[in-house]
Amino acid sequence: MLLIPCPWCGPRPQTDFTYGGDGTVVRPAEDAPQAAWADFVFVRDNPMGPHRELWHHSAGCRRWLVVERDTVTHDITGSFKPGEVPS
Amino acid sequence: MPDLARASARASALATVSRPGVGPDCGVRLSERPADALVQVAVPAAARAAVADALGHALPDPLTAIDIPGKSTRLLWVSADQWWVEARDGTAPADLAARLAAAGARPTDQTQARVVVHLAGEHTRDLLAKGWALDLHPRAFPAGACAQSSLAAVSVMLAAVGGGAYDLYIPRSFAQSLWDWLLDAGAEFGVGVD
Amino acid sequence: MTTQSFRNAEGGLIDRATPLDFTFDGKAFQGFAGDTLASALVANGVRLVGRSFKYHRPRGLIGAGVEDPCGLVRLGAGDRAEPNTRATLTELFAGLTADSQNRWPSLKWDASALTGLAGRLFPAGFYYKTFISPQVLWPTYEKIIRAMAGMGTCPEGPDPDVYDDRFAHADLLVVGAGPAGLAAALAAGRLGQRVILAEQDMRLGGDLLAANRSIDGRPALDWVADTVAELEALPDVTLLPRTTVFGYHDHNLLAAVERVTDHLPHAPAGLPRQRHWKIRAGRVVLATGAIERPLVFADNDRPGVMLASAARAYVNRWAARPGTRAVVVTNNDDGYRSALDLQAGGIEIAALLDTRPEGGGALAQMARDAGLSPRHGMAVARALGGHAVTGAEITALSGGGATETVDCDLIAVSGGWAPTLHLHSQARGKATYDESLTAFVPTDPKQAHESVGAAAGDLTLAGALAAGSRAGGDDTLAPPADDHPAAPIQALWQVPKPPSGKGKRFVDIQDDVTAEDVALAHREGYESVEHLKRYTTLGMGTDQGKTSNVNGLAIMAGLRGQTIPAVGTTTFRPPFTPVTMGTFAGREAGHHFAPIRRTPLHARHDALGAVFQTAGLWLRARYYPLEGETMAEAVAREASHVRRIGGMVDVSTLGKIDIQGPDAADLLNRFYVNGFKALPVGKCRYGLMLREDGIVLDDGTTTRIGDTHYYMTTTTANAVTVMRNLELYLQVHWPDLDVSVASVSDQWAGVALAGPRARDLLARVADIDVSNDAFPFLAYREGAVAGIPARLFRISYSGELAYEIHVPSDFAPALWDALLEHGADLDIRPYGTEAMSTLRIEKGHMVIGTEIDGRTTADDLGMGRMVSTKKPFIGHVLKDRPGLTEGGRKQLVGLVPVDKRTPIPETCQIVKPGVVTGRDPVPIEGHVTAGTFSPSVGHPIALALVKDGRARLGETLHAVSPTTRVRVPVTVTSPVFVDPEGERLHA
Repeated sequence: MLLIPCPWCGPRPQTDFTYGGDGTVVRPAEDAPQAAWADFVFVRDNPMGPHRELWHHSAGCRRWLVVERDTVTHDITGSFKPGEVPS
Repeated sequence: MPDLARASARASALATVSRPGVGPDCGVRLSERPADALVQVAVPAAARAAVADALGHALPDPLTAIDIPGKSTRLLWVSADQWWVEARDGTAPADLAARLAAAGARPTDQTQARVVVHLAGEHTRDLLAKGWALDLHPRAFPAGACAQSSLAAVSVMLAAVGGGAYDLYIPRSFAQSLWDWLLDAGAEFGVGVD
Repeated sequence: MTTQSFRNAEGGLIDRATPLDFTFDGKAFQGFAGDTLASALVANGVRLVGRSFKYHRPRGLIGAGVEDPCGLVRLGAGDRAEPNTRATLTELFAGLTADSQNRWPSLKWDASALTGLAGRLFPAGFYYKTFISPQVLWPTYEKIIRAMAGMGTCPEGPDPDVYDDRFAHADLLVVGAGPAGLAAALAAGRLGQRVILAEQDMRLGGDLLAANRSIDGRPALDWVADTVAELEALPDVTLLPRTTVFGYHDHNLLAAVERVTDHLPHAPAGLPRQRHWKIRAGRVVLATGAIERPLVFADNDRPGVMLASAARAYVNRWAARPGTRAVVVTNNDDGYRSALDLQAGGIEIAALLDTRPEGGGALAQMARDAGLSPRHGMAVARALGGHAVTGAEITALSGGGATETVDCDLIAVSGGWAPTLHLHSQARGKATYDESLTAFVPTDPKQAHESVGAAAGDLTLAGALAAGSRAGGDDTLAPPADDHPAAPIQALWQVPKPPSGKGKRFVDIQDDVTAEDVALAHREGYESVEHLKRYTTLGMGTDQGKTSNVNGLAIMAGLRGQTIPAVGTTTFRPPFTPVTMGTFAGREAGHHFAPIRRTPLHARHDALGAVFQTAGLWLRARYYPLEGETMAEAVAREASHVRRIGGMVDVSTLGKIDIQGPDAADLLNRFYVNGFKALPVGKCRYGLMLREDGIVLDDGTTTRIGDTHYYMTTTTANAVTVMRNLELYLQVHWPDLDVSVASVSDQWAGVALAGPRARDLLARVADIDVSNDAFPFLAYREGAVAGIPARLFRISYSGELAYEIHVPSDFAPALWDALLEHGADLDIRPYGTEAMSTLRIEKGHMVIGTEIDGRTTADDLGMGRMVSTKKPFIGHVLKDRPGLTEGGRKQLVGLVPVDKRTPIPETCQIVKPGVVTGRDPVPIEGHVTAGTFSPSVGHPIALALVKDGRARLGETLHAVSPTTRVRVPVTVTSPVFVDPEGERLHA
């Protein structure tokens, strides 16, 4: 069970969170073409190594956060508030 | 028009649960402590000062709960820009909500959404540790700390209130189930109800 | 009662004042407190303890602890029986009953072994090559194999015991309470750290309990006692004996099982049988010791062939002699220590064989001083005897092949020590081969852990103490110990077959895998260790190859002409030792399997005799049967009553969300497919939500209760998802929207009041004008109902004139009572979720999971006209993708049985008449989503999703279920069976 650092609450057990999928995809503009929306909804990279993903602190503060997790080792190297994710 | 007195009679979510008495060997004692008002409040940054004025106390820092001195009011941090205001001085939820709204905050009445259970006794931590994954050692979770996490798979708020005692804020619909769990999990320590 | 004729008169860590009676295979024995079942059997001279997995060969104890592969017994009886329990780890208690396994009719005379059938059935890879064809015979073969192969049998009934969970946190977790672990815990404890010390044994001390060693010039056990006493006095140190750390997971979470009451004849009330610890540790010290390896020679599985360290443990710790006359064979110095201890324990050493051509260190000299005569370059070629060892055929390894026979009843073997690196490996640490140790040692830890002492490959006592102390944070605490300089070990992976060629040379004794099986796997191309493991089952037993892994892969390396590191090891996975399923279930069993949500009206439903139904975690009142009524009768009665007169139903499980802020209307407008910006205060609106992929997610009503204040309801099923989605979009995608949301599902209870007399009742109890003009359809009012402050909604799910009354949860019982009381003469009655379902099917209303099934669009469900074309909303782009808009999609329709009689089950697929279902695929026209008997129309009806269904009204199709052999001719109709014009709900 992972220990996920919530930017508001500190480290909390994985069971308190809900996985929210790829945190790198950006919701397109409402008038973006259908292909851009299809990419946003359906197309995902499957990186081996560090990856940014959305998690929801469901049993805690109910905030969404962006977690940088290594998909091979499960090492977590960062945890950010949305909008404060370094590029 | 039917009898208006009905409205004042709140029915407890724990009306039908088992309530074993407190014996000399009880390692954990439970008691139900309904709040008069429990209002969740979203406070826009611009309204913080006005809300503090309205409450007579600054809003607490993350992961902490404050009992306002001289008032039967507790403030608990809930989330970014969100707190609970819990009153035990007879304040009506609507009145409290109106005061908070007047200060520019967005109140939501949760008085009857949570069942407050007070836990005390020498084995309280041992009992909680059966279903609570966070560290409750006094060095990690001292009096005045509060946290929301899962207790036996139910999302609850837990506040350390000093003297090794805790207040547990249980979502009403889960209260009976979690109460039963506390009695069963605590059997080895002896659980009594005040 | 058999006397303990193999018990020495003195010595051992047993309490001779506390004799304990027990039975093995029905025979009565006696042991002492402090015994394990294994040591008590040894003390009673029991050598034969089981039959092997495949060949049904007689087996005895090989180890004395966690490594033992053969001493598996069924413990206890009835539903408490536990198969495959290690006798070596079972603490003896008064009244213990154990039985041997895998034998028939008796342990001594086993039919399968006598016929030799098993030997022919199970060559290496028998899983894969036996009985592949003909397939029809497999069930027959399977029965034979299941009866003959395998381990113990499981109890049939539910487990009557209680299991427990426990989270724990520590600065330092020490695994293993041998010298290294005790030293680590002591050092860290003295520094004020929070320490947990877990030890699988009943006593702390590790290998020191079984060895005649000294520390600081005193008996080692004195040092153990002092250390334990000091640790017990430290407030932040937790000592956990009888606790096996079996899993090392991510982020330094370790799982352990504490055997709380297994060792007690009767568990005290309230105490669990076992406790599942989940320990989050800052650092971990792995002081897990090492396991001695056996030697591979012919018939090395005969009862009486034992690890030398185990034999000395029985003698030293339990004063129990595993034989009277021993042959000791070793490839390293430690075997000499065992020979010395056995001799001191009263066992005659018939021969001491050192496979090395010459040499031996200080211990060899001590053995010579003690009158022993080591014979170099010699090994045991074959064990003699059947149910017990009667002798050893010994041979010189340098050639010739000549053998001599030595009479003995014990062959003590030492093949060198392998560090117990399982947890290190589970934590993704590496295993590196160490030539000087001829074993893998832990290297390159990936998490915050460190292996110390024998677990790290340092077999000296002083080294273990020093490394443990250092790991605990104090490098000054390192008492001297009585170590002796050792000569190098000899790599000896198998002893050649005896000249007679007789006997099986076992590598994995639990799984009956021989050196010949390894060679066969190699010949057939299964060369990688992972393939070798799966093909031969090497290391796949309950012992996970603790004594066999290195020998097996070394033999494979030899066959491949490669080095051992080039061949590598298999991956170690949790659990380190078997853990009973109940422990994993923990407290989540029985009525605590999952938390239960109850509505504020639960006790009221209960009092009315409701039958409950689960809906997610909720318990909902399904129907209220009258005396002698079936469910179908009750449901039809309740539904009919609502349509004719009126009823009330608990809708408190709906998701309820408080939405506030200047941008609230904008948020709703983006979430729902239909417009919400123009919704006035005091009005409700039905809304439909899509997912981004254009598929319907949820529906519900949202009410504007103030200028910038809305009250949203969601379906019961999607309450959590919709709330999380609102938070996602507000926090991640649209942070510019100034809106606050809060779940109020638990704050508000709801009762729907429906039917022709609903208004009559509401007028009696509410303090507002409820006339149709003052409170029209889709209006919202605030007022008092029976004196209770309430939110009133003129909305209808049943299709009748209906209201929803929401009150703070604690007032719900009072509301319910008032409605029943004041509605009594109007004959308003409660109805359950099943009648609610019938009413909604009659109206063609959809439900999550059946019609809203994650595949349907708004248009599929007949809601296409609701979808705005004037604004963006979630899913607005992808709802138009080709797959969702082209023809041939399944659309919501109604079905009526042609005979107006036959029910249409919900499991049915829909085909054209004449289509024969059976083995071959057939074209499917659709499927039934919901079926019921409609009291309003007087016959069964159903909802279905049918290809182009709206264009097929009137067509006859067949609803079929090949598995239940149902075939119902049906007519396609509109999904609205009752009041298609909606006159009733506007009444």
